[in-house]
Amino acid sequence: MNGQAATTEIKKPYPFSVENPPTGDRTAAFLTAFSSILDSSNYRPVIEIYSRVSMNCARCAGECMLYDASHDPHDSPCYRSSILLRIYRRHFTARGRLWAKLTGGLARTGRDIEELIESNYHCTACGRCTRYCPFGIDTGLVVRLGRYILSEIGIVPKSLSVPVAEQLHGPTGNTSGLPLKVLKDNLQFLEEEIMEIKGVPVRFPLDVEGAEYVFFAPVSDYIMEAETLMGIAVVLHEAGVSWTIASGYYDAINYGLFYSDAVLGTVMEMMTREVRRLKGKKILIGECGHAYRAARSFMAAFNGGVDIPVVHVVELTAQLLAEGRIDLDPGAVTQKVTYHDPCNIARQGWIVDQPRGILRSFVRDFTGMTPAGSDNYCCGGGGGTVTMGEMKKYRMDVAGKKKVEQIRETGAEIVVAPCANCKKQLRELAGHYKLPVTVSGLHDLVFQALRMKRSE
Amino acid sequence: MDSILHYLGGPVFRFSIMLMALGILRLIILTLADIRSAARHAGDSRIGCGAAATLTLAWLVPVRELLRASPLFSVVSLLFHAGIMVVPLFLSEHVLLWEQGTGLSWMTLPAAAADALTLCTAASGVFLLFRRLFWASLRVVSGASGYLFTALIIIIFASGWLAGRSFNPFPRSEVMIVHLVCGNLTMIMLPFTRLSHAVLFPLARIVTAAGWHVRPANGTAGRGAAGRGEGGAS
Repeated sequence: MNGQAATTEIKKPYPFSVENPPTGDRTAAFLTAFSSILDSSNYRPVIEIYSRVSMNCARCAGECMLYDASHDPHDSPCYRSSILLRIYRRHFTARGRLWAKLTGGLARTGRDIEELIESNYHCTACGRCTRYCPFGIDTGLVVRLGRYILSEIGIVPKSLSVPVAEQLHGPTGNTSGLPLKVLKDNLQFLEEEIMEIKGVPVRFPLDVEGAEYVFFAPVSDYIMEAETLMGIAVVLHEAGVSWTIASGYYDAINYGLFYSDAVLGTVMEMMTREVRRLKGKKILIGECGHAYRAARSFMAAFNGGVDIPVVHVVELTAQLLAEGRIDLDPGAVTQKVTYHDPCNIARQGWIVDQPRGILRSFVRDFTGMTPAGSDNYCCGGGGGTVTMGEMKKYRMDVAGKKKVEQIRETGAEIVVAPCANCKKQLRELAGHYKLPVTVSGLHDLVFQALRMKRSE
Repeated sequence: MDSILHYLGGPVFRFSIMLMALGILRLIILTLADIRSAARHAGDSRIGCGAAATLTLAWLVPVRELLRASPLFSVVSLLFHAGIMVVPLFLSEHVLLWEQGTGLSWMTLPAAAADALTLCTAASGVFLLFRRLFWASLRVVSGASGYLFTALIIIIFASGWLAGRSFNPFPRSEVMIVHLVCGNLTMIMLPFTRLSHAVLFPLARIVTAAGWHVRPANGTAGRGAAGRGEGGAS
């Protein structure tokens, strides 16, 4: 029962490129997919209780960096979540359906879907508003559900769907289309670079059975973040950690976290299959925020209720430093350094102190941002929006504005962010606003600071 | 007029309160059943309630929040809700009614404190109503119910206060009828409208945690129905 026959179909051009957009009655398809998801998932009770408790006080607006920059009422989290909630009320609750029939509300659904498409991909799903909602409305969850429904009818930004298609069905099996042969060449190149810079033979082990850690980096790092990877490799080498990269699947990126449970689960299965094949004990995630959250939060869900421990490389390095297994030169970095908390590792308080501890051990002039930690502001490129070229103007002028102000206030010369998405957004912001900063991964600096005993 | 008052304060009041109590009970049972069902179907059935409970408690006593971005709204909202919870239960006239009807009695608010809190509640309601009317970001998310509920609370408290004043320009019985009609109406509506946030609020965060506990087969049904899935990747 969704009242689809009474709806009006309105079709503006999509605000982003969509490969194979749906044809036919989009409103009916949306409502059918919505109904199926509600029936087959745990989202129905969430949407039901939100539709009952949400008093729309708009308190969240004052905490959202998007609203803060644009002052557009449509950018308030409250408004964003209200779009899907009103579609739910109208089509999936008796009281809402009755009211809609009396007031002609059913005809508004087409327009609401139109608005949902644009609104949900403006949100970076950073989760900050949820902390400040008196009712506990999780706008990130509502936005993700909206995107999930849209994805079921084929409406996904091309910049997400194309890499995911390659990851799930393509010959390379990863989001960057990086073939195994090229990966091996790149690893060899990185080993040679380390040898040249550090004078130590360090390996990027491939397919080592029984290793403690099976390592998954965002695959784009193998192409664009050589120093991050070299930093990680030297730390693991120096501390004598047993680790390996898996040749069968080597991409940490899981865009399913941003828009689809189906994708989320499939990528998790690809990851865990490799861990089982290699008889690994733990999953080590490289410098990536969303990949860590996806793996940590959903491991048991997609692995038969069994947790494989998931460790972020920043956590491991902090632990190795605390145990005295690595030695960082206290004066290695003399520039002023600040740290940006990636939302997906900091919002829940998981990884906040560890990176600061590492940085303080070798950075002479470390300065923090305010607010920070679980209260931080998003870089402005979260939730997959950083991949969307069409969103660049919004990411620069609105979404990233708060972060630019924060960076300026610190007066830092280097901004550290252990997340591939954040680094991309921060670099674009630095270019756009002509900020005199270098954006760096954490292990890029660790690579400089690490004193390798075996090289002496 | 007295018989209407007697009717509204007697059978109608009893009906309203029974309906409200049963409606609330139904809502709580259904929500708890939903949480249980979500945990049973989730791939990872360990739904942590600790963090959700801590945050909910923090919002019940939102001292920290008073110092944040919206201090005025926070203080006014706190007063508004405190009044709604305290005055109906502890006003001496209300307790007397309970005693007459059920034989049960409990502590009451001093008259001066009750009057002050009643006025504060009505005044904060007016502030919240104006905020909703004149702040664009709030107006855009406000439906008729948002205005109606706030207005009802203002009327209940204002009429209750006015009825006890010697300078009340209206006949007391008519003011009391307004008071009782609005009060009963609010109780009847509570379980069926967004007013139910009053009782569901402590469960919302736990339900959210359950929502993040996905079912392993999520998406399959949607894929089948819509013929797509994986974001058009297949």
